[in-house]
Amino acid sequence: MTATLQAPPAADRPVIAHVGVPGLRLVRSEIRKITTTNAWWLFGLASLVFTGLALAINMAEASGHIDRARDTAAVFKPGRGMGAAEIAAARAEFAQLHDLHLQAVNAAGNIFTSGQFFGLLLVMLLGALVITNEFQYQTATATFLTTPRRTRVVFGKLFAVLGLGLVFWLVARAVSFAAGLLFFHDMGLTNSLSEWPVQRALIFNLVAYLLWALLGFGLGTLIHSQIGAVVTAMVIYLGGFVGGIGVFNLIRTYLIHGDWVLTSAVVMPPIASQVMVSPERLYPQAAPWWVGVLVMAGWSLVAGAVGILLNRRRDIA
Amino acid sequence: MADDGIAVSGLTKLYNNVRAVDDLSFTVSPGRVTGFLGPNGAGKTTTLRMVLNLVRPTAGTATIGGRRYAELADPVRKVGALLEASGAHRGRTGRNHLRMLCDAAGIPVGRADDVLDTVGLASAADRKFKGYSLGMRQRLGIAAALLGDPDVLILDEPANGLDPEGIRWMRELLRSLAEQGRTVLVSSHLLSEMELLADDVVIIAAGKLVQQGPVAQVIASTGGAQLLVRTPRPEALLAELGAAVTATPVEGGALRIVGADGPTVGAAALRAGAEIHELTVERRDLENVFLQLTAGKADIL
Repeated sequence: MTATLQAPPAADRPVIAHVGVPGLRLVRSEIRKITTTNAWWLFGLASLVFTGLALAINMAEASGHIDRARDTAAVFKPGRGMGAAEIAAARAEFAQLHDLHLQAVNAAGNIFTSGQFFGLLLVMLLGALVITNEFQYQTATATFLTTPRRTRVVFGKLFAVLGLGLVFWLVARAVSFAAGLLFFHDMGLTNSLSEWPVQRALIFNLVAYLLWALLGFGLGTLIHSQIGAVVTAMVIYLGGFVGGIGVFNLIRTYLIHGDWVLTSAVVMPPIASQVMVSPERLYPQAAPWWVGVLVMAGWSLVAGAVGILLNRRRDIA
Repeated sequence: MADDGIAVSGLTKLYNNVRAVDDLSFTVSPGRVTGFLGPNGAGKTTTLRMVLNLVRPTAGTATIGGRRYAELADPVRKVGALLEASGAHRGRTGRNHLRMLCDAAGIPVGRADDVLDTVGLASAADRKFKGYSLGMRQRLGIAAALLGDPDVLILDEPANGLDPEGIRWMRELLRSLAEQGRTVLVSSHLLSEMELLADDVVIIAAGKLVQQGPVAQVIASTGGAQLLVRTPRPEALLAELGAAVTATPVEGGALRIVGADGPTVGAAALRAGAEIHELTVERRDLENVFLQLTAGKADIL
């Protein structure tokens, strides 16, 4: 009889089920990444605070406009020394200011989309964070080990970011909806929600949330440094809103004399966004609203596509 | 199980014209623990990252079970990897870190708790990563590597930050995984630990392969036995032994002789009439061999 050395019995290997739909697994993973850290609710809280502030300001303003429109005692008086054309313009403006229906619709458009300015900035920044967090916290290694086909990861994030934009829009709109209904009830006016200009404002408000989230995401894909992406996003957003059209006005005045210079200001995302959400032309030479949509989508696409190409070749070390 | 081997062939990586990894080829067999050794800066981490498709090779290929990592149908169930201990979000709990990986890999999220149990982190599952000690971070990384119950494990310095008990736990875990027939490739700079753990070693220096094979064979390949000899007439003894041996003086007037065994040296001493005061067969361990093999080849030591 010979003694044989026996290998210890192999432990039972666990049976691990396959769960989830292949395409949606990554989206689910990305949503879990977002909801398991603090950024989303901090940003959400900020969005609520800004929405509340904007609501207060917009309601105060609207209340003033509506009171003025209701003042039936006011009579149009042309100023001294005005020409006929000036008088006509002033009369038209007076008529608008005292058109209760028009003022109510304008007020509804503003109130129901309150908080858009900071809301858009926040979803853009969050869009950038979704991708730059991977490099900031070195989770890119774990992510790309799990899903070595990196472009799939980017698309998973893309859908998560769009979902995030939608949720932020929904929450901000729910709050302004509740506040707006109370406001119009209090003013004894219809809420104008059946009016197309108000509906249009709400729809394009949603489109803007999605497009800005997408643009932030595109920037994050392109610029992996978190600080770099956030600063770039803020410069594009705030710089464009504050000084964008001014630069094009200067070019128009001193360099190239053509109205198309002003029209082309739409290439700047903030101008594109405003062009898109404005029911009427933002300024006389402004491009039509759909050009704004295309420009926003185009920038996101270009930044995202270049980012994906770089990402495929990038060493994760 | 021959399917689960790792094959590295002609792998090269240039960083700014510096050859971090230089035409490196080696194989790793299933059912064995293979130690991946090299001085700091030898290119170990870069090599492992190229095997895992995280770093693009300048030239060459690396396959796992015959496929490149990026081509694996279900990489998490095939390969588990631990690369750096700090690879999780500071504000996320250990359990959520694993769950998000489960989501992406199509593994039930309950598996996160199973592997947390395996690595002894169950009680810290709901603590945020920033509160983890280095050893806990390492255990979380190992838990992540085990999520898919993979056939192949690739671990970069897994013992980093572990206490002696943790190191022993790790050794037993890796041994048992290899005994189940899995492929285990583990890099380390703890040579005494490797000698206890590894069946095979791959030694690299300055990006190039130095030696590969079973541990005993690699130790033997560097010149057999090593003797410590003390004699008042070293010149006479060396003349008798001839050119086949190398001798280096050590402190206290003794000689370290490589290339001859005890009986040969004893016989030579008798013939030379050299009195022997001490004759010790020294055990050559992996550390001696490693240092001998990589001497002068390290970029940074």
